[in-house]
Amino acid sequence: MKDTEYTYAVAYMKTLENKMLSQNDIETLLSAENEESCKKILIEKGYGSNLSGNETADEILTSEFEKIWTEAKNVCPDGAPLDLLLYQNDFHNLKTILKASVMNVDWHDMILKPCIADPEDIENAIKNVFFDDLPQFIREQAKEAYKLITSVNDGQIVEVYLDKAYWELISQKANTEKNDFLIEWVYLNTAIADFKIALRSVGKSKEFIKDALIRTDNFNPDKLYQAAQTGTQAVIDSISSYGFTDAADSLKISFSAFEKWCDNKKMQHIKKAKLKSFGFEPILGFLIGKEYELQTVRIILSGKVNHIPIQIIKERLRDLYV
Amino acid sequence: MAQLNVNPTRMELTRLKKSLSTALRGHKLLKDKRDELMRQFLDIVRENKVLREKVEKQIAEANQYFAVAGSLMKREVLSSALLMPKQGVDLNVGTKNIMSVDIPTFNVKTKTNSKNDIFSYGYVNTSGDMDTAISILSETLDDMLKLAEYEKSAQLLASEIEKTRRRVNALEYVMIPNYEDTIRYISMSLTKAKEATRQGY
Repeated sequence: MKDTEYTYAVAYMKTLENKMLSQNDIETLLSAENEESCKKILIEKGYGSNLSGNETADEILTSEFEKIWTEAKNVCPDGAPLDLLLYQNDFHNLKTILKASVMNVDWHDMILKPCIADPEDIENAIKNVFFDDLPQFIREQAKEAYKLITSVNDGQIVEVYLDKAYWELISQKANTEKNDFLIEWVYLNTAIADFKIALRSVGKSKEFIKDALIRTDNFNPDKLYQAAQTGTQAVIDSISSYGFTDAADSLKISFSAFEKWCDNKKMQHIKKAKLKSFGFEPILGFLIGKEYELQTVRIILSGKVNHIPIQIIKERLRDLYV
Repeated sequence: MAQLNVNPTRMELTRLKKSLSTALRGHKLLKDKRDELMRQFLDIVRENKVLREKVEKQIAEANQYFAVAGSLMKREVLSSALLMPKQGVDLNVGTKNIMSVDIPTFNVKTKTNSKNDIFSYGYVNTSGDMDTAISILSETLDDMLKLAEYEKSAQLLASEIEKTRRRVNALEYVMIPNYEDTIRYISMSLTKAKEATRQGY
């Protein structure tokens, strides 16, 4: 699609950007007395404007994302690759329903929305062991994941398989779109995902590490594979050798500092989209930025509910899009 | 002063003297049992206190990591990640006898001994804080079972101490004084009867 076809959508998203939470708003939330005060601040800022007002903070956040998503879908021209962002929810739903079927528990409150594949259809496919009616992007993965879970009865193996399948799919889609911003974003995400996998897989079997690490056209995890078999320090050195020395530095502080670095690094890339006035990138940037904003709010709210010291909350707060 | 409702005969006196001797011996034995139970109970209570403090600290720490993980992940993702536990636990329950009290013993055996093989989720969408929380809980399991063992033992011993204390008190303040009073009464009655017989001649 031509970049100019997104002009209206981009202009609309720019107006929504102005309503996003600023650093000052985050400070106000941090200094709020409790969850209820945070909720009031969020409602003043436009959160939950489509709700009755009796919802929990978690419901407000969920509805906020769904609201933004619906608006984005309405303003984007047909054929915009927005679905790329929803695949993650579909893969999560597939994992959840597969595990819930094996454990015979209800999955309805563990489903992420919006999504492309109807969760009920996924459940029916699993019940009937017939996956041909599922959307094409998830069909083969669902079939394979079902085989895995029924043979090894191990939720982690299935998650590892589906996480890998998801990023391989996204990488293919990004390459098909031939969009440099998207390709770079996928590269960054797969690299970061592999760093996390390698760090947390130290001590696991060779086979597990090999199966878990994500390999795409743009990222080769061979060095991480070797390093993960040696130890944590080898993985840290390996991360530096991929050119991410600041990631290695953050690991010297703590794993939480590293996770914060990961999210901030992704945000740095996403922020580049703000400078563009045409094309799909500002829309993608806004949607991802909004998700990060919601995550920041969730960190603060959870901190208030669980009486987590403010210092610990602050250490985990990520950079904002605006 | 209480005495038993008995006939003041020599035969009864002999029987009561035997019962008194048995009661005195029983009283001493039960007192010894109570003291030993008390000693064992205090040992268990001391260990229980140390262990409870340790377990509570570990659980609080794990909860804090869970809360942090919960703030970094969506609620749905967190619930789904823990949907299918990986680690399995076999619990063998036995008993140990302390001073005729059967106290439970727990022997735990995990499906896998590897510390890295306890996570039920993938590593891409989950927080490292969750690994820490689960590792802490996994390490706490042995202590939690030991604590359950100690707490149940303390309850059972306390109940046995209470029973023994009642028995000791019953012997010390009721049965033994009753026997002694009755023996005294029979002895006096027999002396009086003897005196009356002598004066009658």
